[in-house]
Amino acid sequence: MNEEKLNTLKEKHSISDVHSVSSLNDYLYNKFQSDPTLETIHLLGEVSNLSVTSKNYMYFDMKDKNSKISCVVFKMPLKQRELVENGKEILIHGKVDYYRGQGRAQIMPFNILPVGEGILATKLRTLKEKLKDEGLFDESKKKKIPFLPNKIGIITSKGSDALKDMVNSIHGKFSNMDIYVYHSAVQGDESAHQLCEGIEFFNVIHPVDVIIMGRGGGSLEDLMSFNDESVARAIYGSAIPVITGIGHREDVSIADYTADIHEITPTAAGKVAVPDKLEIISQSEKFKYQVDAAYRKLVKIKDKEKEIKKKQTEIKMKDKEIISHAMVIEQEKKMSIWYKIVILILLMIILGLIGTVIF
Amino acid sequence: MSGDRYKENEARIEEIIRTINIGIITQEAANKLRFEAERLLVENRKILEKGEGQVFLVSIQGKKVVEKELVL
Repeated sequence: MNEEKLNTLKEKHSISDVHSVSSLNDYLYNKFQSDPTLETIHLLGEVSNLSVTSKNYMYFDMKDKNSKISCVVFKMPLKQRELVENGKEILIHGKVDYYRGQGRAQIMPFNILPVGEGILATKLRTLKEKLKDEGLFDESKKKKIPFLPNKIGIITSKGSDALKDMVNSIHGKFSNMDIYVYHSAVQGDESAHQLCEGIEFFNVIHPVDVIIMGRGGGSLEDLMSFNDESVARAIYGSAIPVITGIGHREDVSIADYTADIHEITPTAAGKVAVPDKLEIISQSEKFKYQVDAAYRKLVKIKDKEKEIKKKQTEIKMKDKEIISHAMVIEQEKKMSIWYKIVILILLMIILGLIGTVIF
Repeated sequence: MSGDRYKENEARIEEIIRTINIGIITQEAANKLRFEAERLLVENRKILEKGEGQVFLVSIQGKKVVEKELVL
């Protein structure tokens, strides 16, 4: 806002001073900078809504029962960074800064000290241990995801990006897969109840072959319905396998522990639900080739066998011919000996007769 | 479930390939098995083509299940 406009407004409304947003934020920034109390403070609270950027900057809220304040960490030793976890109670030594760009106060820690678990984290840990003891997380109880489901059921908010991500990842691998969406709130008071209803709906009223339950990332508080005992029990009791894809990489809820397959994001959950159609078709082509190749090989073997048989028969025939020829010769031989003997006998008889006549 | 049928068919095709490869059957028997494998491959292809790739929003209205196509 330019100076001239501000002066006009001052005159028009008879007011002594009018601030622009920037000038007010500058004023507050200076106030924060000049207040010695805000220069160095110790703040006790529970970490919530933690996110880490690609540059390793950490943004999170420090909260207690009634209130919260933003914190930002740019550089800090790893040991201290590791203390910052959703639900954990920590003690921060730092300064209170005023971020003019967004007009809000934020804590910039110099040092972070451990205190213990926050109330929420304690509650979750207790529930997790209880369900684990009951066997809800047992690997042996996990149901197998079918190789090729006919129908997939998704439980999520109908207008969410998470739904788009799940549908896109399913259709990316298997374009003609039909998907059924049961709308459920994914945060807030009603959400746990609606998530349970969704599981019952796909088990009893509108059966599908696999259920995916998903939502995008959020603070620990936003994801609390997925840490609800009733949701965990509904997943465990489902006769149909359940895949979860809740939040981001760092978020693991009790629903995830109970699910038959737990993926880190909704996209990943969609991908694991179906096989890659192109890969299957390529395998099918391979089978066709193998069948044809095996048949051609067999035909070749059979042809060779026939040829060998034919040759064997020919050899046998020749052998027979040779044998019969030899027999003829032998017979002829025998015949000629008998013939000679007969001639000799006849000659001897004739000679005998001639001798008798002469003498 | 058609996925189970698909896997059964695949297992049978693999068995047929093994049998023909061993080579102790007659050519006529091998030919019959080849046709069986081809029929199973066609059946599997049909299984893969099931579905339209549609997305439905499902809910209960009264006692009736309502399916409404969802365009994302």
